[in-house]
Amino acid sequence: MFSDNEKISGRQMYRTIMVTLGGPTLLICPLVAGRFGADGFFVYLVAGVLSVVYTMLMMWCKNRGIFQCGNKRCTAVMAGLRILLCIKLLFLAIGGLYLICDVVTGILLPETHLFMVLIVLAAALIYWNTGSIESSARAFELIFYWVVVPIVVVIAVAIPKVIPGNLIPSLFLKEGSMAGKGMDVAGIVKAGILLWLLFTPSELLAFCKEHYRNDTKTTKGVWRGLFMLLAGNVITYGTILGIYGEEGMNRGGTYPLLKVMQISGIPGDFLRRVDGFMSVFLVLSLFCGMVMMMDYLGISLWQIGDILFGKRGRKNKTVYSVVITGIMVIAVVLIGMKVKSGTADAFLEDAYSDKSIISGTELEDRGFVMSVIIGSETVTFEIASDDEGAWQEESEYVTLNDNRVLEAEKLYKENGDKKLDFTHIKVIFIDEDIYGNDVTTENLKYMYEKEKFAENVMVCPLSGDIKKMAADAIENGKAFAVVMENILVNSEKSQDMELYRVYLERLRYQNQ
Amino acid sequence: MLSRSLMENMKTIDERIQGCDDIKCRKMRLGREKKTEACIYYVEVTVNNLTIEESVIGKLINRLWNMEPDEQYEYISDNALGITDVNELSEYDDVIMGIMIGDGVVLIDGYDKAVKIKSKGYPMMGISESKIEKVMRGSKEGFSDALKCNTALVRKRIRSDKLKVKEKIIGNTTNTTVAVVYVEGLARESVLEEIDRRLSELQIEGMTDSGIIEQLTEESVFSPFPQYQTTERPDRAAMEVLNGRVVLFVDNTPVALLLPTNYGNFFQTADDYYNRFHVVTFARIIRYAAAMIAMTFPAMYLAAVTYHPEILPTSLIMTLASARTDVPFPAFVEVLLMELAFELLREAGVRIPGPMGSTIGIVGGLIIGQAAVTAGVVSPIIVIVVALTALASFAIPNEELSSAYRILKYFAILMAAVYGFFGIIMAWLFIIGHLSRLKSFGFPYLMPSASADINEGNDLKDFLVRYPIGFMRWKSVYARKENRKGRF
Repeated sequence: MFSDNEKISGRQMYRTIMVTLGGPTLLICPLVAGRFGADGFFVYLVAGVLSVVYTMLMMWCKNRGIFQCGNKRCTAVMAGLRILLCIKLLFLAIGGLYLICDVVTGILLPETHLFMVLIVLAAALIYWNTGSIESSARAFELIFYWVVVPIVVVIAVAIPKVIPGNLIPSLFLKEGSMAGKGMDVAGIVKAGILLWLLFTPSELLAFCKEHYRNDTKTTKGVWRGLFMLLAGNVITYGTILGIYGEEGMNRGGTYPLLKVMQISGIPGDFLRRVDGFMSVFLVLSLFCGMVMMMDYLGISLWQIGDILFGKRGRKNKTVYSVVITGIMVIAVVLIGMKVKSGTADAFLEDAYSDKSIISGTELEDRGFVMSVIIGSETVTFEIASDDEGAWQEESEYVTLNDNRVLEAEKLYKENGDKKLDFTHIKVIFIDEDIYGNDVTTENLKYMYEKEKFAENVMVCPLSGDIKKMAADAIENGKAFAVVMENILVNSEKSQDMELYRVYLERLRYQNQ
Repeated sequence: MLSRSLMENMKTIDERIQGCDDIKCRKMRLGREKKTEACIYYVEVTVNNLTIEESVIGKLINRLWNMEPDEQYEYISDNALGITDVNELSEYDDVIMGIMIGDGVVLIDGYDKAVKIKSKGYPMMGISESKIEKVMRGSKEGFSDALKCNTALVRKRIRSDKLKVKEKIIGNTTNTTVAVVYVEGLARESVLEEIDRRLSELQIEGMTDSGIIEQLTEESVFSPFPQYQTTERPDRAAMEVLNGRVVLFVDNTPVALLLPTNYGNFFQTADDYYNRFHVVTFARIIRYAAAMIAMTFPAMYLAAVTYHPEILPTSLIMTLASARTDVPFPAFVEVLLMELAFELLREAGVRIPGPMGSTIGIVGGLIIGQAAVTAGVVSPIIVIVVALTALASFAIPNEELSSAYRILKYFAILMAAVYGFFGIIMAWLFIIGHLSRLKSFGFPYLMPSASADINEGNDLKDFLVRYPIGFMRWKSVYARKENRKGRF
């Protein structure tokens, strides 16, 4: 009968690399390379060259069976190398779990308790890891399209927003200009090495040779996967950099790719903002990456077990999955988030905070904010009317005595009967009196970094006739944001008024 | 062993069939001097008076009527009538079995063998159009309850000695015939051996439907996904047999089992090969999309309105918000309530006899849906969501797969209620994880979307996109490698 042979084919190899490494690299690499702005391309170059050399080396080792534990050839050094590989795989798996938790609690479920997220992830990991390496590879083949297509769509939609000037490396700029401050070669090499660590699946070829079909298709699959992954990463980085420029990279908030997702709405009203929707596909990739690491970690551990105890040891995959998943969960809880919070204590405090087990909010309990009007002393939220079909004509205005949006939100939360929802906000109005103030910078920073505000929401100075119209709308409870959005969208400078551009321009100005 | 004494044989058989008033024994005296006693055992209805007169049995008895005893024994043992459906039996068990399967069994005094003669058999429904596999184009014949009739319908389409039909009796009490049909040289030996092994290991009292075999021999009992494909169509069965697959018929069942199977097979229909490839490819994409909708749509609605309202246009989200203002339930309960109401209608529609069944589905759906919206129990959008989901589930060509998605839909709804889109993707991860390890007779269930290179990618030509017939030059991975060339 047809049966599993625990071997991965060339097609599976290619797709496994794309699916399992696509998500993690696309999230992390722009963070690392972004510090160097347009010179970040050289970071990818260093990482790419190192990856190619490393892969060639590993293939050479594979063909000669150098890391294979044949009974006699296996030495303590080989066992030691395998232990190092296990440690690396475990760290990568923990990193993957951390990333998922960060994306899920940051973007998808900001109000859900972390432990709820960890429970479902742990259950899925345990279930997946009780299967064979071949079954995982089959699943990755299927998931391939689920990961690649959404990311390609996001990038394709975002590319028109790219400003080519942002993409020129300092090497080609005149000395003295802002970007032409010279290349940090040592930094680039260090960052390249860091990225290369993410592109090193080829070592598994050498260490787990018996799990790959020994044919040219597998070799082709590895090379194809590696090159496509590198190319995809470079294109993505170019797109992100082209949109945000050097100032926008690593300027707080979430991962750069997720920021791009916020502004890459599909044309038309549906899926206008896709970050929530698209990031689940990224989560899929991150999850697959973890599964792969755990699969190979398991294989490596069995091999070490075989070296130490011969073939007598019992191989219970369920026990293995539970133990390793448990270690990963504990590691993420105790160590992983320390990076974010500064201290483990702070993280634990966050984890035990008042976040909900089920955090969904019914539509009727949401107050959809259509505009935020920031005055010199106050912040006014324009909330769409609940009455059927009236939202385009009527609005409710809530004015709070603080000109900082964050504080105004807190004030509303104390007294308001609904939960403020900024996901459909149309325009942010800022009074001309405070437009150049630090308060505005603080407000823009807050809104830019908070995922609930779309990156491409319009920012409009409140002055002259607009100010009068706003005052009239507030007094009479008329809808204001919808009217203004129509006017602003049709204006020539509409793109320059998008939140992320306004904020980044301000940063650029401050840097100068 | 039967004895030469008719009385002794009759006594033993009568003891065995005591209490079976439907089994009749007609005694007679044969030979010129009417000295040879004989009798015929049969189940009422299967052999009636008219049949005895006109059938093979009748003719045989007429011949024996004027013969001497020695001549009679010789005549029977040589099968001088030259009929194929006559078997000699020498064991009591075989005699009883012969009677039970609806044949007539003749016992003659002085002869230690019984003669089983084929008769018209049990009453059955004739060949009718398939109810669950309707096609626009192609044969209208469907399988009937009679196994022999079903195998003949396949034979009618494959007139070759390579088409093999291997019968087996299963069920300690029901003694049901199961036929394994395949094309020699195409079906893999390993699959045939595995089928034989699994059937031989079956120790059950009764086998009243192919569904029982399916459940007893599938590899993953707890999986919601069907691991056997079913068909009611002889043309489909014939086509699959030609593709290296094996068809399993169970007597008294109009549903044949096709094996091995994979996920993609459930989205194929018989007329996929009778229509042009553009149309078929489009239809298949719709079917796959339907499967996604059938499982995920209510969950996506729930996730969108409770966790991710940003993906919907402002105008729609405001309409939904105002429509939900008076609804007394949270969106999760609302979705669940309407989905269960639909299941109720569906179940009632199936059980209610005749044309009323379908009527109640439509009328019930319309009236209850409208009334629920008017009463403010649910919002109008949820009626659209549930209706679209139901429609999608009916677009999946295979009822078993459709049912699997119907069940999994509730899992997705639950996950969406707790985790939003993240929950839906986690639900899919569990399902894909499960599907990736599921197998049908050793073949990965996810083929050909996964592991397609086992057959050099040829199975992908008949997957989501169906290539023009002329391009499909290789049989599926189920066929033996050496004979895989040439599909149609």
